[in-house]
Amino acid sequence: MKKDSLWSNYRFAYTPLLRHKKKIVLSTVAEAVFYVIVPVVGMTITSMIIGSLEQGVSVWKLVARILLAFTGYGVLNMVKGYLDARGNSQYIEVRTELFIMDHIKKDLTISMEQYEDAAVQKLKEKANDCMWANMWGIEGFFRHNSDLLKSVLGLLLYMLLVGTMNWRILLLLVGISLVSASAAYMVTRHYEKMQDPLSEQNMTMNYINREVDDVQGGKDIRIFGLGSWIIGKYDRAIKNCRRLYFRLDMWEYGSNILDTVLDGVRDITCYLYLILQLSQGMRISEFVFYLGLVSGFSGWISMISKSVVAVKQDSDRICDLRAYLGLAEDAPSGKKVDGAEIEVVFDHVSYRYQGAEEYTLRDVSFRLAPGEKLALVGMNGAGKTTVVKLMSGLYLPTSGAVYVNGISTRELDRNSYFARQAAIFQEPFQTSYSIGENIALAESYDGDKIWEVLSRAGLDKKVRSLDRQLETHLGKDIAPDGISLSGGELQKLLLARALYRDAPLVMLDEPTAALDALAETEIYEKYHTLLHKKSVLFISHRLASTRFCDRIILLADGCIREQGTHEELMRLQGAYHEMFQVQGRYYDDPALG
Amino acid sequence: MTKKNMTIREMWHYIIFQTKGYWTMKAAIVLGVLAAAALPYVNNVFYAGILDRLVASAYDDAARVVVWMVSVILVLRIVAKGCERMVRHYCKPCEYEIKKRTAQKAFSMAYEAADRTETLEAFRRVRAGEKGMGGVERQLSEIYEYFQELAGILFACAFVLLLFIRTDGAKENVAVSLVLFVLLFLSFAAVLFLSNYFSKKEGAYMVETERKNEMWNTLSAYLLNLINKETYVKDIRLFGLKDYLYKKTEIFRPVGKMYTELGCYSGKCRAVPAFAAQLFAAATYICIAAKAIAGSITIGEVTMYAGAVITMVSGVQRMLAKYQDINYMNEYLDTYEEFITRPNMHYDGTLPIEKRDDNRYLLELSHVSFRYPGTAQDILKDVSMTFCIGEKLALVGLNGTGKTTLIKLLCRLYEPTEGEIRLNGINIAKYDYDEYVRIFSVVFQDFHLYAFPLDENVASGGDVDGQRLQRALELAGMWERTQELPQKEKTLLGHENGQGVLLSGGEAQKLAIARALYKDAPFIILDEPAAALDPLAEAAVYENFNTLVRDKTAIYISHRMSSCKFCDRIVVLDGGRILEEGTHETLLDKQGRYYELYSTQAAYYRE
Repeated sequence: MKKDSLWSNYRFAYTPLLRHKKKIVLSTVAEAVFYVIVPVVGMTITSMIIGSLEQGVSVWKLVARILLAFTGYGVLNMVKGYLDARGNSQYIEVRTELFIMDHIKKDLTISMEQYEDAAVQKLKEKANDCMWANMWGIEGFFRHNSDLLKSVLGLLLYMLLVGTMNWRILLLLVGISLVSASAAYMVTRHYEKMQDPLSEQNMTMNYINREVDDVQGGKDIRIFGLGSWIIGKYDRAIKNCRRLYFRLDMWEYGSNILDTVLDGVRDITCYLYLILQLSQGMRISEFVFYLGLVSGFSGWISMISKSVVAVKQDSDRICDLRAYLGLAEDAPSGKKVDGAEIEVVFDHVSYRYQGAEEYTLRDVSFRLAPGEKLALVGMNGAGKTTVVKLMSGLYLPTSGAVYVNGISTRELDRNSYFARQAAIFQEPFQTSYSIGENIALAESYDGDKIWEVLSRAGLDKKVRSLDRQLETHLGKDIAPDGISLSGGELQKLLLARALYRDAPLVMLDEPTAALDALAETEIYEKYHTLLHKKSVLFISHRLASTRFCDRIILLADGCIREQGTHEELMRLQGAYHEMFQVQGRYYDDPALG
Repeated sequence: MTKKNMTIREMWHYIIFQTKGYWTMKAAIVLGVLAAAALPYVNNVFYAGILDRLVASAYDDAARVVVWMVSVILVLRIVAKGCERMVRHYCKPCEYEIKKRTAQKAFSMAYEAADRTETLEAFRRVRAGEKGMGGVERQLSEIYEYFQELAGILFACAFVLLLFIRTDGAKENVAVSLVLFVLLFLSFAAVLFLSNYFSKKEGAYMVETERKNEMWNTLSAYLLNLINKETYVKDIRLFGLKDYLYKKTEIFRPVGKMYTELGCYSGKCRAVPAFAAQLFAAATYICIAAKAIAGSITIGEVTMYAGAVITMVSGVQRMLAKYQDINYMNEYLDTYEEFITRPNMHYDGTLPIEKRDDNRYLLELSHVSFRYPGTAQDILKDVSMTFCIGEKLALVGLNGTGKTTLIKLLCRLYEPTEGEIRLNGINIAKYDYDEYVRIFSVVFQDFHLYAFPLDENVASGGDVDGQRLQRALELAGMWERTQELPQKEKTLLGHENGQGVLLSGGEAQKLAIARALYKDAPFIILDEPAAALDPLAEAAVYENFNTLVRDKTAIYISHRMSSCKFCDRIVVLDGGRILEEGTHETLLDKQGRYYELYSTQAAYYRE
């Protein structure tokens, strides 16, 4: 991937700022101007007072001068204080208003395949790091550029002032500053080099910290006595960090000492030079003023070198962010899927996950006729869920094609196809918003229709018993009085959602794994009666449950091993028969009669 | 929340506590603080000396003082920086240490307490607070800097006292100078009052903003998690929830403005004291210049004294601001301390478990009732039962009838509300917890594996017995799969702690089973161990368990009634009570709940 240049990152960051946040731009510039002017005015005042004393002006004249000067200086400080405080927090607004929403939109629009791509995952993490931070990344870029502006303005002003005094002093100051800046740069380089080993340690510690928040895992920790094992990992990470930081600290201390020595050299040289000037007739007030300039000079240089390094780092992070935001979008213009019914045909479909060596599916061909109920069974890892993802259009086949009403999934408008299907997965998607929103999956919904699907799914009684009915929240993330549904109730809610959507294609991926026998049977019966006009793909480990399906496909090692009705497959005496026997053998009980 | 401000003593204790009280650290703090605080004053004294010599045209003398000045400052700076480095070098690990101790506590405190929402909420608040303001490390460096300002102010006071003492009665009017000093002191007090007033106002506004933001933080964390959760990504796309969720996140927008407003408010609060401070500076210069004109002090000393006084004002202002920050952060950090010092509750039993090679441990429940803390509904009601040695027992019942809760009570994750559980006749709460859980191997429904190497996960620690590992993996049906992994049994699990492998639900479940087998405890408890397994793997698990369990006591929970047939005894729970009890055959004859459940599932398998 080609990295964006620093300048294009400036355009990326500052174009929206200049367009939408003129007030913030203005405040940044004003902040820099005041930041630079205030110390110079301060030095001028001190020098003025010394000068007045030197000349022996009267007390009252001096009092008047001091009052006047400090009143003006006070006003300048007031403005500076205000602008500094504002500058410290105004870039949060820039980030949240101008950049965050694009990022979230990208999170929501990258395709399933992109989401699962390890390279994209990494990029996504880096982009997050750039976006969700105050002191670095996109917000840091604005902060550090504001520092850069201040220090460049400051340096220019001081250079101008020192230069009018003596160009040799200027040269000396610049020379010394460059040496100390390059020492600081070396430390930074060293620091950067340590980032990888450091972040490895941090990753472990952050991971363990996250585990602490997860109460469920606490059971295993206590029963298996995992505490000392995990804390041992923590200890090792801390020890490694200490070692790394110790080296870094030594480097930094070295550069501190070098700075101190350089400052000493600078001070001796400048003082002696100025004393020489004094002996040749310079005034003491001027001496005071110039010394102030000399000691402030290196501050600007080190501020420049610090902010340049920071801006560079921020810019690198922005490159990651832009690479993420620039990921290709689904082509919006494809063929739309029409018709009241859906037919799906797998035509010699093979699929291999990105980066994987082996194919997950090989040469799979079958047809899901309109209104047909098709069951997909097979061992763990046989590729059943991959079939669902290919059928739904979340994945595109590596070779072969999936046709939906005659259109290849490569050519169709995926979103229009998604709208024609409803899926229920093992880990059900639910939000902590209201029951109504959870069924309609929209903010506004048709209440009558919701009640109708609830009653068909057999959940209306439960919802009517709640105080806030459809407005009741699920879970406590958003509303403290939210409720939680049992496994069976949740499955009914998902069924109601599928009915509300009234889509001609329904996919069920092991929805009942956690249900007890009675709840499971109830749900099967509901599927049977409520989905009868729709095309249904059903995945389950419980072979018995596939009996309400018209046809069964047995998948093994990514290929179709057997297909047919339950009776046909049983007659075949093959793999399906074996699995059915194994699962059913303990139910073969004479006591049942 | 009651707000308690930290005293200087408490700050000192805090920093010493965090750095483990090493005397070297104490020395470094004192030396570093004094050296850093002294720097500007030392500079002022030398500078005054130089100026006076220059006014007197003693240029050679002045040059000598310059050399002295530079040398002394060089030494002071190297000492100050060195000490500061040392302290800071210690602060970063403190941050890690406190989080480590928190983890340690979370792992060892009563599960019941860790499970409470109040604990979790407190935790989330601390972590959110840390993100905004920095944690222990930042707090320590703030305290260090606070000490530095404090020392600086003490130096400044010495100068002011000196200045006052040096009133020369012959050269100036003592009364006038006294009045001037009183005025100076009063204006100093006024500046302090203003600074304090406004910094409190600013602090209150900041707290208010953070509180408002807390709600937003929770919501945004929730939404972002929802949007990026691995298992939800497909649903969001299939159901076309892009616009719906995008609209929900619109709440992010106004938050930024809130912070700009906070910045503007802070700016206004700081503007008034900033102006007042300059008026005070003017007053200082007037007083001192008057003395200089009168001849009590030299021109050089004007810069020295004025510098000291003005540094004092800005020092006090910074100190006040730091004091606000320190106390604000302290409120958050207190939560950690409070958490770490919580008692370990009923894990403090002391009795050792009798070591028995014959695994003859007898567990019995006697009139046990249980309700979750803070709820009114009994999950278990008056349950009495005995787990006979070597018996295989099945727990059966609809969802939500208290099966898993019963297991949690057996493992002492919760304590019974009424009644007691006894092991070999003694209440289990009296046993040492670590010893007690040694006799249990459990595969929970929501078992948890860690993003560390596979073998360590199975062995529950770093010491892995290779043979035992292989045997456990073989029995769980995971050995072959393990051999296919990139680093075999050393392979890292998951992506959360570096690049590892992502296991499927079924594979993870097999590992959890292998972990239980590796532990080889006299009691084995399986809570829905095969929910994610295919029929063949499921059958293999049950059959392997039967060969393995042998003389051990086993408890099964499963919705697949077929697994009950392996068991010696079946207990049917309903609404927290024991409904039926017996063998497979006797229960079928009874034609009760068990019969109903069994025949419902069996119906599918009969031709």
